[in-house]
Amino acid sequence: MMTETLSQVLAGLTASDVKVDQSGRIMIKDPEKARQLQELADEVELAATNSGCNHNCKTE
Amino acid sequence: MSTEFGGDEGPVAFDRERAFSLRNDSFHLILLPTEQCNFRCTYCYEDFSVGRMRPETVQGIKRLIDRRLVDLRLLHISWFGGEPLLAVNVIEDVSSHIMTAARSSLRYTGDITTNGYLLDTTMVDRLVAVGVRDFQISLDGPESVHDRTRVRADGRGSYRRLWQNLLAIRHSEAPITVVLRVHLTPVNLPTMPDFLTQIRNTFLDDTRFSVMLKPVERLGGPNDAIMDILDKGSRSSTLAQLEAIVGGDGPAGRLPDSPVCYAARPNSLVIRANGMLGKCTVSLTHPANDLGRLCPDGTLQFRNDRLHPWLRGWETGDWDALHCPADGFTLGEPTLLQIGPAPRRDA
Repeated sequence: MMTETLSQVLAGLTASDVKVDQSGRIMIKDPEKARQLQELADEVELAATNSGCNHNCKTE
Repeated sequence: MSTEFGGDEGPVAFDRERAFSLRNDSFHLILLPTEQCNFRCTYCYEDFSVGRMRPETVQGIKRLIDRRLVDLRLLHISWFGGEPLLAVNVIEDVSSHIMTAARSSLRYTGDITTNGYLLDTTMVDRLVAVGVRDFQISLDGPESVHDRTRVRADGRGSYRRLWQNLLAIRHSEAPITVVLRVHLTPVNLPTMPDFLTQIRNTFLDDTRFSVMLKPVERLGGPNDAIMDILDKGSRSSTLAQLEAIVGGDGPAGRLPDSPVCYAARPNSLVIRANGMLGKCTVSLTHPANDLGRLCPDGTLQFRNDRLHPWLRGWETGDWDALHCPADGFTLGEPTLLQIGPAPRRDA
């Protein structure tokens, strides 16, 4: 259920809708979408980042 | 669909990765405390034009982190260079500041990509003390091969001291993980079965150690034109054969790496030694990777007009552009989604 809602909220969100502010925080252009995403993001587990640099660069 | 990174690449995984990348309670900083290096690896793409991080940039990083600590749940710091251990005081300064300032609810993790030459057990202990516990160290094969490509700045080899340091870590009880990144080239490939067997027998019964096999790529260094790389058509089978020697499951309890490069994540930033901001640690001097600068008060002068192409994979659903957003952009011909005129590769 959560994944369906997440998909709906993310639908139509373009790269141009995303900005970074002077503190490095992400700003979503549409405040309603930003609010919905914030609520749903709390249910998404904190994923693993790349644990070191250059892992995937130009990987086939 | 399962990936070589151990994750899924279905639509649910895509949305979850995307949502994670947009979270403001997670922040990944890749910090270059110096861009100088004590090695001159023959395939290196860096130009060593920037020196040690200046005090005002160190202060800016600490102020930036202070500004964000109030709403962060996960702070991940990756130390990169140059050779970051040449500026270990900067690492200790920033990291100890985080450990002092952080609330108990903050999950703070630190990793470092180092050539390992200065990584004796005393250095390991210093890093562990400030929360840097995950290490990536590169090897190019046995001594006779490694010392031809991972050359010190004075022209001498680096293998013996590196191996000595790795053995000392193996015999220590340091609470760390070590990814041995083994580079593959057509020249070192014949040595790999025996070398990887030696690696396996020496290190891999210790769950702190794992091996990552990585073909060397042409990433913009001065030797790209004369450098031989593995044939792309046979890479998968070559890698599969070699991975069978070293297992490939990684240390117990370690999460598989994400299939998404940090450069594609809005909540990840590179801060260079000179305070410039970027997304990618390879295309360091490419104009499209100049995303602004960090001010001493911790504020960012961020170039949002240059952000879009790094995020294009989220818009198109293209996993390749998420694995490596620089590929086909700063590392190749510009894509249709690029904003504005094509950046010059020689700029």
